[in-house]
Amino acid sequence: MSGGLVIKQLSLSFAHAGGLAAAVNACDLAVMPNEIVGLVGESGSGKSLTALACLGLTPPNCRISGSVQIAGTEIVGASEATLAPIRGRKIAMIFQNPMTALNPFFTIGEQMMGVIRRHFSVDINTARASVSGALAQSGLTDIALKKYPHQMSGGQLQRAMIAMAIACKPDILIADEPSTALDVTVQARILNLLRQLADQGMGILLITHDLGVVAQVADRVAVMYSGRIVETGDTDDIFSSAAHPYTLGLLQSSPVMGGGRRKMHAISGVVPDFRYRLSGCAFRDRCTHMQTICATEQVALKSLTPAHQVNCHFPIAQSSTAAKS
Amino acid sequence: MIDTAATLSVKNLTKSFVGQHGIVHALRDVSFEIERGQSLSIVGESGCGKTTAALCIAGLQSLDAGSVTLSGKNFSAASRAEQNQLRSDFGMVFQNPLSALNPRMRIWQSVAEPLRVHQPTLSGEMQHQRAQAALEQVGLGAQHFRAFPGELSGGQLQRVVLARALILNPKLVILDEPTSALDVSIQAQVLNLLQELRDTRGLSYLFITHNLALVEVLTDQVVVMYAGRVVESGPAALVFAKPRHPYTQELIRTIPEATPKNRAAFRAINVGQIQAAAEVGCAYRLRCAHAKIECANVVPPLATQTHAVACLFPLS
Amino acid sequence: MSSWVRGNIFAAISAFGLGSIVVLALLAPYLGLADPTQIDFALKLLPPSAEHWFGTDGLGRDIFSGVVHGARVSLLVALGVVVIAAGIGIPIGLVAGYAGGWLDTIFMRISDVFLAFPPLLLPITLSALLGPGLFNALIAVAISWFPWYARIVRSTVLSVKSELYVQAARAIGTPPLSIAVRHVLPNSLSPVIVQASMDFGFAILTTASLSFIGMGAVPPTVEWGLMVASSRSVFLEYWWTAMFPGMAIFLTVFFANVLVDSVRDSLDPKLERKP
Repeated sequence: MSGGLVIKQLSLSFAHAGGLAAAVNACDLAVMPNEIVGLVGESGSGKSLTALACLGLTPPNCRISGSVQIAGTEIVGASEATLAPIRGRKIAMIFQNPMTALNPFFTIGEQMMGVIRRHFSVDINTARASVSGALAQSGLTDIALKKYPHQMSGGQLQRAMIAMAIACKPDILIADEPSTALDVTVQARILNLLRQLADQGMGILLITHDLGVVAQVADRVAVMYSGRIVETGDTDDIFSSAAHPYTLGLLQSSPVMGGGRRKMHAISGVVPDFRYRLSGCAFRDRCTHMQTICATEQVALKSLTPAHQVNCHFPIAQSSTAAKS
Repeated sequence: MIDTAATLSVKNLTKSFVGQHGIVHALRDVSFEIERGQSLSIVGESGCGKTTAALCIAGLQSLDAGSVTLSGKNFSAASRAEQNQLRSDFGMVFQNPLSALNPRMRIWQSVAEPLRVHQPTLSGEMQHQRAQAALEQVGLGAQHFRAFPGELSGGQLQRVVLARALILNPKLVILDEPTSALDVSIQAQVLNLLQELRDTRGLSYLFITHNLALVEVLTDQVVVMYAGRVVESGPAALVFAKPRHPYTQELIRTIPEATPKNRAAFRAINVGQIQAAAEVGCAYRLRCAHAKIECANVVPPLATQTHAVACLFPLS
Repeated sequence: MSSWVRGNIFAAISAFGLGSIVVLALLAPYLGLADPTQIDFALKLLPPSAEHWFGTDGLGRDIFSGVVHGARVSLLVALGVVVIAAGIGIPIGLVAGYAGGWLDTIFMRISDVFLAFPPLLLPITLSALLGPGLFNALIAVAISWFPWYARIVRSTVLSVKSELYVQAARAIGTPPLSIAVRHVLPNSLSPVIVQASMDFGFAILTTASLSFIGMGAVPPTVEWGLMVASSRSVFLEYWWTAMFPGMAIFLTVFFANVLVDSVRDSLDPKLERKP
């Protein structure tokens, strides 16, 4: 439990016309040092909100229950005074659009120095050294220090964001769609950069809608649907033997090269709005395996193997999945 | 003559902008053709000129040089009024369907807009009926006809945009990243719909995408662009199976596919920064692992064969 | 949440208040009130009483009746100012913003000239040129204000014109005029409506001010500003002569301004969309 991020039974709900609606429901997730955990979901699945909760940054009208611990410190319900030294120092975050996350009026160097000197009482030379180190680690040179955000390309900005995030050597890095806005060629490099950071000891929660991204760099995967984690397991297990119909559907509808002129596998229906969730299993109206019990009973998380858990009454049998994919 | 003419013929498109850091050559001598019933994708990184190409072809941006011919009719040389008439020959689908629809117009009104413009004698009643039929064809029910765009989901909105693009029965549809704003599970629905419409109505697509894995789903031909130029073109199956330009190879290699199969190769991609395009010689040479001294001297010409490549030392 | 409710209570009170004023104004001739122009020196400067709720003025006219009848004039003039100013300003702003080029330059330099005058000086000058009278005051204020509308519309048009749906309309072949009227204009009006609601109160104030200095309404027209003006010499001793017409101006403007906020909220396109 030392340096990691441990989320237990985290629920995040909002008041709306019909009462409380849970955007995130009883979510369990852990990120340990040295690993990348991919949190996969479509828009509105609650994945980004979960990330914000890890930094204690949920919107004011959001009700939180459960627990989020970072290196043993509880985040849920913690005061700003407790959170301030944790944010940036123990846990840092990078976003999909670095342009809006950086202040356009300050150079990258000024912004990075500010972060370091807020967390460490160090002299300017030491701070400068760690900034340079972080930049180098992110594949940038000290030239970037003097640049304003608008003078850099999208890939460079994301590198600057990563440099800023790792400058204080946090234990945990949350990356919310870090490569979605980038070209595949740049994306591959940013993803490998994250992989490198994990190999050096950082724990990374990689939030994405793209199973392909997860397949390449994540060690473990959690698939979220409509506020719940529906399946979690080692990356290889998920891709070789997906047990939840939604995971399998996502996998099959992800385009791959060399398929020729083919019909895509599509999941019917629409991505649900968390305020109008179905009773029982939220995926049932889009599921081809649906039975009566799915409408009435919410499933408990089942363990298929110690590392592979699924939230489904009728998980897809291992052998048949392997055959399909 | 007209009957055998290509659905779309693009010759020597050239377009430059004056940017913050001097002149940006968005398109340099871009040529390609879409034969009747064929479809073609343009792929490349952002800034390669693929979107500018689509805008120039659609007449939404002026050309510096070159010509666009639609079914034998010279579109780019036409007057503005004539161009507006010729616009009934193609439909257009955009990346972000929510912003492509007027938020203050009802769905059916947006879909009927092309009728209003090109068949002004049609009665309001007929416009409404045809809009409904078009919406039904893309799988939208009556409950959506009178809705406003803000009330529909992304996938539904893209169907609306598609219905608008198809209502005049054009032969060509320009698809500018039509699924990249959609969720993965919805993207497949829209792609299937696009396939179905292509096959049942004999449509030609000009498909602009950054996602190489989608190319073969919708089109048979592919044009790879880099820094405003076509660097490789040909039948998609051939180009992807045996890429001849190192850039095409890089694009293919960096796609994160939803399988851990090629993980080792993916992780072998270095983490360094990508070099900018070169001003002189082959634009790609600073990024290229196979670059030789000669690459700095000339811009490699695009060979004129089925599977064409613009590289002095193409991969074999 | 609580601020939302609070804002709506204010809005509801204001809507009710302004609504009552409008209803009173509409019904004024049918309420059996004293003729507000009836001079009767026997009744001059009577304090508020059951007979004369707001008292009488220096010429013995009933002030309550004056305030109620004056509402007709003030509201109508304010409406006229806003409609005319917006009616001139919107097309100019639309053309300038959508067409751009030399048309834009010409229109905007003209509006710069108008906007260079201090806010009340131009209506006063124009009123002086046109001569006194309520209608001339209305025209004077409307002409002084239309550049604001032109500016607002132009700047919104500039941003709306780069929206994807405008490009989509161009791709369809929609002619420019049709794009401007069907696509650009409807999506550029929200800030104009907010500005117009804000100006409604301000127009009442301005015409009242013009009347007060003798450039607006002339007797026997019953108008709030004129009522305050005519009490100038006596209001220190006979407070009701200025107080009630003054309150009428204040409350109408206040209610109108409070309502602007909720108008602004209701026009926010983000609130129309599903999250």
